[in-house]
Amino acid sequence: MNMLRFQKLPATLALAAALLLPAFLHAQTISVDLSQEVAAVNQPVVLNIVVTNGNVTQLPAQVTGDGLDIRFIGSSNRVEINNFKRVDTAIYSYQVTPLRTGDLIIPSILVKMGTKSYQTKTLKLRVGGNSGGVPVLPALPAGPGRPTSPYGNPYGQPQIQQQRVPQPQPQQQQQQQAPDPDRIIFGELVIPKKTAYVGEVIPVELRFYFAADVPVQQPEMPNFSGDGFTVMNFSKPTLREQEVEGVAYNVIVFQTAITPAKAGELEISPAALRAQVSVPMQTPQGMDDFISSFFANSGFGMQLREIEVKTKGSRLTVKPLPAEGRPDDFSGAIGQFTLRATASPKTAAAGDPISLDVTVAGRGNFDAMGAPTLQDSEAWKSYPPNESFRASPSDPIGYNGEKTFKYMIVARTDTNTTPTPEFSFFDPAVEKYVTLRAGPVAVTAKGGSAAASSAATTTSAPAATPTPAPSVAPTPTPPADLLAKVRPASFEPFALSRGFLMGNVVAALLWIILGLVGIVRAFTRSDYARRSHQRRENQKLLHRAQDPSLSAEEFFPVAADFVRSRLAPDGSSSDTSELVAAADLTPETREGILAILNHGDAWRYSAGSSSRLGAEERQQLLAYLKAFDEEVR
Amino acid sequence: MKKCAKFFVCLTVFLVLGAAWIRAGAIEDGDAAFAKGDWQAAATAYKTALSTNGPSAGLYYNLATAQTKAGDRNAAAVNLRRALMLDPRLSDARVSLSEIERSQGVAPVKDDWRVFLAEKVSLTAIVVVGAVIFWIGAFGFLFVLVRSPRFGSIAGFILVALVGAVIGAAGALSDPKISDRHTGVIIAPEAVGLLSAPADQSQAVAKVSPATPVRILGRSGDWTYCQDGTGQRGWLPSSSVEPVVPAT
Repeated sequence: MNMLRFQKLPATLALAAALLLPAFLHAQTISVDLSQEVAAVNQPVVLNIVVTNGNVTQLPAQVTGDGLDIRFIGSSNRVEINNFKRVDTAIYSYQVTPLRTGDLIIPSILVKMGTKSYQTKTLKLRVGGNSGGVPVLPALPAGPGRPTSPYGNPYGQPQIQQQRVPQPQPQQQQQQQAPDPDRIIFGELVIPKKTAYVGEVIPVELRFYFAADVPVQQPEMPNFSGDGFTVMNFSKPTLREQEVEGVAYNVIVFQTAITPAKAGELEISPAALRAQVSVPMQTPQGMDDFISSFFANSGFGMQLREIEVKTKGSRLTVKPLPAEGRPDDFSGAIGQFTLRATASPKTAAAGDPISLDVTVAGRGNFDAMGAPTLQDSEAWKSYPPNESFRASPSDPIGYNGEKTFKYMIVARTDTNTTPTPEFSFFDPAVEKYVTLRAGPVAVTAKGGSAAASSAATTTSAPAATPTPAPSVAPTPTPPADLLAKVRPASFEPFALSRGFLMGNVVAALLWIILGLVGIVRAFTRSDYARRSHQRRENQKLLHRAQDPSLSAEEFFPVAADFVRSRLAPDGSSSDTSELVAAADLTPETREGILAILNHGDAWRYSAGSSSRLGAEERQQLLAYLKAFDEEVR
Repeated sequence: MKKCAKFFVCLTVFLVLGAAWIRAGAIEDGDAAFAKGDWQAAATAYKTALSTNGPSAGLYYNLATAQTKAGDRNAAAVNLRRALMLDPRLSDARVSLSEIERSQGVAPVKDDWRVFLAEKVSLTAIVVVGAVIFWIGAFGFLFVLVRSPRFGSIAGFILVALVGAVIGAAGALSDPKISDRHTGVIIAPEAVGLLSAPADQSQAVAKVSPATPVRILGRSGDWTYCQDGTGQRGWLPSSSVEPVVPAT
């Protein structure tokens, strides 16, 4: 048996490995994106290389691009568990500073992962004289130290070909407070705009500076809220080292976005962060300075102190969305978006649906965005779309990304093109409403006869101008807009209907009864029940033996049965005298019981003996039996 | 005695046939009026049919279609919701309701898994299948426990019962007759304010567009306490809100 188990072990392990292997096998991907595609001269944007499940060993510190200054500024990591799969994502950031106007091409970047090399795709940056109101967060300059994540980096850091990077000078820092190197700990609230529109999403960074010799531990999520605007969820914090005018700082950065809810001057309250820092303990009076400095420098004599770091507040002028030029299908989307549409399958038989996927990509308030409208859709019957949002991999707050609206459309008549999706939004960069159309997708679809008749009725009978029907006589079939099936129904939920509840109650009662029967049956067959029964039988025999009316012929068999029953409840085949001899009894009791058994044999086999049992003798024999009963128990 | 019995049988047959004729007549009248483009008459006939025939998803849909054509979009929204409550797979009603809500400026609400489930399969079938699977698991568990208790078998039947319970619960929770039982629809012609107190002069905490669904939390006199889709709670005049489940 054990051998068999060991033979099965490898097969079991192989099966387990086969089941678990997919959980650890995961694809290695590299993608690249820009924080925005539109910028102004000398206004830096961030290029992120997102590496999933890969260990980057080498990246260039500087990349040459026509009209562009591209420098590595840092990295961050995150670990996610998706469907029992661990996904490690590392984001390597470059600051891209355009030096002239025009459509500038960001060249591909060589990424080395061990022995393999990858080239990222080229990207286009549109550079104008100004950013046109597109919110741009000033990049955090990389310091001489290595940027890292407060949650640790499972891969270690790639080798950057040139470690020392000159400090870029972001242009748009009108709301930044200049860090004061005299301060040990301070916060900074970075808002890239001074004016915004109601409903516009504005990315915000909260930066908390801790002097490098003040180790910080366990930062909580910052407290940042206020009246007149809503705050999105915070990103996971990233930790960078930065040198400000000769003073080294650890900077904890949180990203979020705010959305103004009303027009007017908006006061933005300071953000506060609670964290623990290590500070030297108070030196006891009389301790030598040399000893106290030794303990402090070696890490002893430090204590954790909980502190709160606050940024300064800020102000924002919030304007209402203009009423002029507002398209009828404007649903509240504010930002910069593109629109594209795909359809599948390309061929549909009569009544078969086609999935029309309309994707709105870009940056803005995806949460408040309504679905695009479908124009030129007379030949189609459409259903409300399902929505799904996918944030850009390098965007931790859901500001950049794409939202896909999946429409199911069914052709009413034969047609070769899908409806034309149309999407309107307000672009704060140009301060105008923009309407995008994604051209109809070429498909081949057959119209259903029922749908066609319905469509014909719909198109021939506008809501405001009822068209008289050619025949006034009532017809047994209802008009095409109506439903022919008029089945009775009830507002009572089926799950709460009397029939369903009664059925379940009956099943439950049956289950309870069967359960009780099972319990009783199991109990009556148990050892405990059998022993209890035997005990009751024994007591009956003893009680019967005490009956004074019993004759000797009757008494001794009863007494013998009692003794045997007590010593061999399971019906042993051994002789009763042998059982008595082997039992743990006092000598006096044993002799008495053996005498009863012998007397019984004598009474049984001796003919003509008197059947009377004297009262004294009966008492003596009963005393033996009771003593025997006690001792056996 | 025999004559008396014959009389009652004849009377019963007469009443049943008469009622069926009246009901069928109302529906046919509605269809005929609709075909003629007399939307008001069609709506009235369908209301008559509903009052005599009882609830029907098809009748509510036809009534809503007539009301839409007649320009009464808010009443149509209520009746389309009733049609969908009775038959969640009535996709035509869902499309019409979506169009009405879009035209009335109602903020779109993302459908959750319950709507998805209700659209795809019969909720009654799901509830029945879930209950059957649950009881198979429950009785199997009992049988194994009494006859030959083994961990694998017991765990298996418990799992079967749990799966059945989850399926049944999913079906029950997806039923709009349960989930939308306390839903009402704004039938006021213009947007109305959710008031902080049941009084005309009280402050409005939010505005709700016509045809917007709200959750009815209670009533006090001529006022209804409601919660809109954003979670704002307030009072509305009862005449502005029509419960989806009609009062019996």
